[in-house]
Formats: sequence, structure tokens, C-alpha cells
Amino acid sequence: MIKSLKNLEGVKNIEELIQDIINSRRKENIRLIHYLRLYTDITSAYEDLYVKHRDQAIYYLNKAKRSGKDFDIKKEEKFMEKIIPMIEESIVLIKKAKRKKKKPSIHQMHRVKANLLTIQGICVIRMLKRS
Amino acid sequence: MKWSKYFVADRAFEISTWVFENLEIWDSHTHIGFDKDEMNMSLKDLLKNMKKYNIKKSILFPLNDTRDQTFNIANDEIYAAYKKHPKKFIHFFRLNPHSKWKDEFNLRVEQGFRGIKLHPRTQNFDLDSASAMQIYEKAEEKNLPILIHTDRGLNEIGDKIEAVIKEYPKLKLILGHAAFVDMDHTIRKLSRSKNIYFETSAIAVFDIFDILQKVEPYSIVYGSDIPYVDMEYSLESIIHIADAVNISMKNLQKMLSGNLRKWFDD
Repeated sequence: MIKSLKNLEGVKNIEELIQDIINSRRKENIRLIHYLRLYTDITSAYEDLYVKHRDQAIYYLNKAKRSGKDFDIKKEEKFMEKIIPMIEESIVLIKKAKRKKKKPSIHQMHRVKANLLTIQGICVIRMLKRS
Repeated sequence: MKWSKYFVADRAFEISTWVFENLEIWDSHTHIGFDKDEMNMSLKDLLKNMKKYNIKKSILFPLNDTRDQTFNIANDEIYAAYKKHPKKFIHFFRLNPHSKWKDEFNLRVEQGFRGIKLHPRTQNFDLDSASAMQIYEKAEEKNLPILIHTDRGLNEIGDKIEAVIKEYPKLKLILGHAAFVDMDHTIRKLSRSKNIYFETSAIAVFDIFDILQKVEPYSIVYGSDIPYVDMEYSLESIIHIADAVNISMKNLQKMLSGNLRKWFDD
């Protein structure tokens, strides 16, 4: 009787363990989806900027900013703290470029381009960092 | 021994403390001063960053400074920074081929500058234009490496650079941003040249992946392009990708400083 109870306890522990693994995988999948979404929005903004669709680029950057702010995973916070100001700065610079009479192309927006490439890179590196 | 096993997650971007403690890092692409696009970097901030990320030495040159046509003021600032911290910097001067660059060239050679920065897009010249060719000739003669911008705004650069090194076979070139606009072609044409380095700053992480896979380790140098890209991220990306493509510690060391040391070690 005692022996079978112990076995039941063991089964319960295994169930908990499996549940933990499932939860951890879910969390990891959510993390990956967040980064994929961010990466995709930043890539879209970059491409729009390249063909001078600045409003559309700003739209995607705002979308990316919202995604970054919604990224509710503790260990990724420090990366969002790095990414969000870069998005905000890029939006400001694109808006400033829009106001100028002589419109700069992506070639003249090295700073925005560097920001967007850095964000893409952070996304890729974080995706490689599987927990 | 596979170095990536020493990775620890104790920094914002998880740069390996082992890499920090055991490998010497030289940054081949740093700026101080002011840029037309309003970007700026002070000497103090650059040194602070170098200390924080354990960068022992940096190639230093001006931003796209518009205070004068010849970059004389900005080059003076580079010289002053070098005189103040001679062990920290390899000083490069910037030239504008459309200006009266010969006087500026001679002055900087006399001052002992170690190389030249050229930016075909912002100074609006072709890689193989007559004035650029004159600068290559003088640089080859004085054994001054040129870091040349090979980023967006230029096309089909592989053929042009090949023509340049055929004309000036002893000229040493650092391809800033690794010729990513024409990367495959440039790698096919030039990756075996001992006088050409592919520099990794401000390019997409997938391009770093390509470079590390397709170019020999003796032809790759790490660069950040600070203040446009921070040293932490740029280091993290090259270290991660090196791990992903199984680059040995010995070869990583070449990319992080060994290759630059070959050209600039005193």
C-alpha cells in the first residue's frame, strides 16, 4: 500500500515536471514570436525607408515600438530598454528628414540605418539564445 | 577547446568574460568629432566606451565633418587625440578628393598618421575616379592603408576595387562595412588578397554570418563604427556568429586584433 502511494507520488512529480517543461516551451515560443514580430516590423520599416516610403516606415516603427513595450518577459527587459530608444530616435530622424525640402535618401540616413540593423541583429542574437 | 563553452550571461549582451580576459580587442572603425547628420562623439566618451568593452586600441578618424572642405580641422582633432593617447589610437586622416587634398596629405604624412579614411558616398566620388586613383598611388608609395567606405550608395564595387589593386598591388585596403552592397561578388574577387581586410561594422547580422563563412580569418577585422553602432552590440554579434559557424579561438583572435596588429604593430 505504502509502496503504491510512493509510486503515485512519483507519477505526480513526473506530471509536474512535464507541465514545467510544457510551460517553459510555451514561454520560449512566445519569446521567439515576439522577436520574430519585432524583426519583421523593423525589416519592413527598413525596406520602406529605402524606397522613400517614410510614412509607411514610421508606421512599422511605431508598430515595432508597441511590440517592444508589450514584450512582457523579465529577462528580455534589458534588451527592450536598448531597442525602444533606438526605434524612437529613428522615428524622430525620419520625421525630421520628411520636413526638409531636399529629402535625404537612405544613403544619407546612416544613423537610422545603423539603428535598424542593430535592432535586427539583437533580435537574431536573442533568438539564437535559446533558454 | 571550443571557446563558446565559456560564455556567461553576466553582461547586458552576454559577451563572454573569457573573451574579454583572454583576447585582445582592437576596433578598426571609430570616430570622434561632428557629422553633417548631427551625430557626434567626444574623445572622452570614446575612451569611456573603449575601457568598458576592453578595447585596447582603435583606428580613429573624423566623421563627415563639414567645417572645412579638406577635413583639416577634423584631422587636427584626430592628431590631438592621438598625441594625448598614443597607445590607444591608430590615427587615420580623412581626405576629400574634390578638395586640394595634396597639402593635407603631406601635412598628415609628416605628422606620422598611419592611414587614410575615404568615403566615396559622402564625398561624392567614384572608387576608380582619377583623383581617388591619385590618392591610392600616394598611399601605396607611403605605405598608408586606406579604410574605404563600401556601404550603401555604391554598386558593383568588387570590380572597381579589383582594378585598383591591380594598378596598385602593394596598396592596403580595409573595406569598411565589408562591401556588403556587393558582398558575394567582392568576396569572390578579393577575399584571397593579402592586402585587403573585410571590416565588420554596421552590417546585418546575416552578412557577418556570410563573411565569417566565406572569407578567410586572416582577411577579417572587427569594427564598431561608433557612435553609429555601439561597441557592445558589434562585439556581441561577431562573437555569437563566430560561435555559430565554429570559428576557433585562434582565428577569432585574428579578427579581433591579430590582423590589424600585422599592419600596425610598432
